[in-house]
Amino acid sequence: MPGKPPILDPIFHQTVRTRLALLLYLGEISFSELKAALSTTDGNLDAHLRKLSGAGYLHSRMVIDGRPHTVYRLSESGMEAFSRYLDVLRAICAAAVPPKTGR
Amino acid sequence: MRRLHITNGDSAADILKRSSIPGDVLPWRDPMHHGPFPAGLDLADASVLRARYLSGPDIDSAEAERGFRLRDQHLQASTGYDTILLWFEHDLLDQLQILQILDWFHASDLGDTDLQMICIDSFPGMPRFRGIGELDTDQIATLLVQQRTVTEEALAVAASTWAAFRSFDPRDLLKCLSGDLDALPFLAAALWRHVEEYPATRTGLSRTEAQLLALVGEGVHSPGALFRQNMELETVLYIGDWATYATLDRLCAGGLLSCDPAPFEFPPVSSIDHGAFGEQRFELTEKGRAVLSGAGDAHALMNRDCWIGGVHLGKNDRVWTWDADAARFVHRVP
Repeated sequence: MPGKPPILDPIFHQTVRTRLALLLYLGEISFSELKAALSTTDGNLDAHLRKLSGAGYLHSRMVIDGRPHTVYRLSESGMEAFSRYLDVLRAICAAAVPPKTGR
Repeated sequence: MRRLHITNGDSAADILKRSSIPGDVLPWRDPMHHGPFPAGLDLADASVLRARYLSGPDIDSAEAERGFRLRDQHLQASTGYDTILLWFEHDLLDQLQILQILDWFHASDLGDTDLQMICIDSFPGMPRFRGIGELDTDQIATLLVQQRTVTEEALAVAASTWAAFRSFDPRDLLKCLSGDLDALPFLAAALWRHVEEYPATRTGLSRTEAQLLALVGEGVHSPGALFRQNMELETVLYIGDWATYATLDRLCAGGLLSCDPAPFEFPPVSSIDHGAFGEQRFELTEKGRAVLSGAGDAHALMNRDCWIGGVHLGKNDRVWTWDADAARFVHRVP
């Protein structure tokens, strides 16, 4: 009998947010760079960033490099949570062994 | 254990992020000592107002509003942490930030979250200590032994003082100052400095305006030098470059200073390059000399239309002025 299925963090387990979290996991990135990479609208990206921030998973930093702007990345707890999310995904993939067909 | 650090801005936040201290970091980016904070607005509405006030040609309003929204979202999630640790200093800017944050926690259910604060006015070996942002990663870690639980009394003091700061009547602040503010030990001194930013009853100038006018009169002419030397006139530094340059701009608009070339341009209001910015020179005008010598006052000249917390100093309104000798506010009819 199969064990209890692993729980995927719902904050990350959403099509746009998984990609968003991956970009934020890899390093600091600006809003306009995120928007271009995800091909999304301002409003949509805003909503997903709020979701991450509401879980404490988002860190921002003001950069004064000519025009002041904000760069984002996952917070410390966001990095840990996303690492766990990836571990669960890996475990799911590892368990997904194709059944023997008998042919 | 999940831990959230709330700091007074990016400098302290960056040091914490680079240090060995674990936890998420939330910088509270708002120079709250200037601009509007009217009573009756909840956190979200106040944030929209602040973002619009702080944005300009060089700070995109959509980005500013996003920054405040994400900050507030993180704050609202903060009771999911085991510990929240506030990192602040003794100056006016930090004390106002403490009031807003503690007022929010006062109205919130902290549940099992432990709310702690580090608030310092000095650091060993730094006789001219200005703020946590000056420390390195090892120095900041030594402050952990100074964290204290935020008491119910401190939360109550913060909530009542925050309401007074946002009141349309500045005399509410004096009522707070006549009470017991010891639960937040640096608050009273900071608020006494705050009331000096109202136009003085006699001269019509705030303390910062008077200091800058006097510095120009003493031969300091460039914006950068005026910013640096004005800092030296503060017992406890709180005013940043942006607010200093905005004050110089107001003195020019009031005809007390002239700027060559005119008009005065400064970032982020203007995208003037660094070299051209530094070459601008201020001089006293005849009116400026008259005010500085006590032969005239600046009430009519300054033509104010600005906010200090919850108080609007308007063009056509009666204006609250600060009589330092009597330690009271005086309503001046235009």
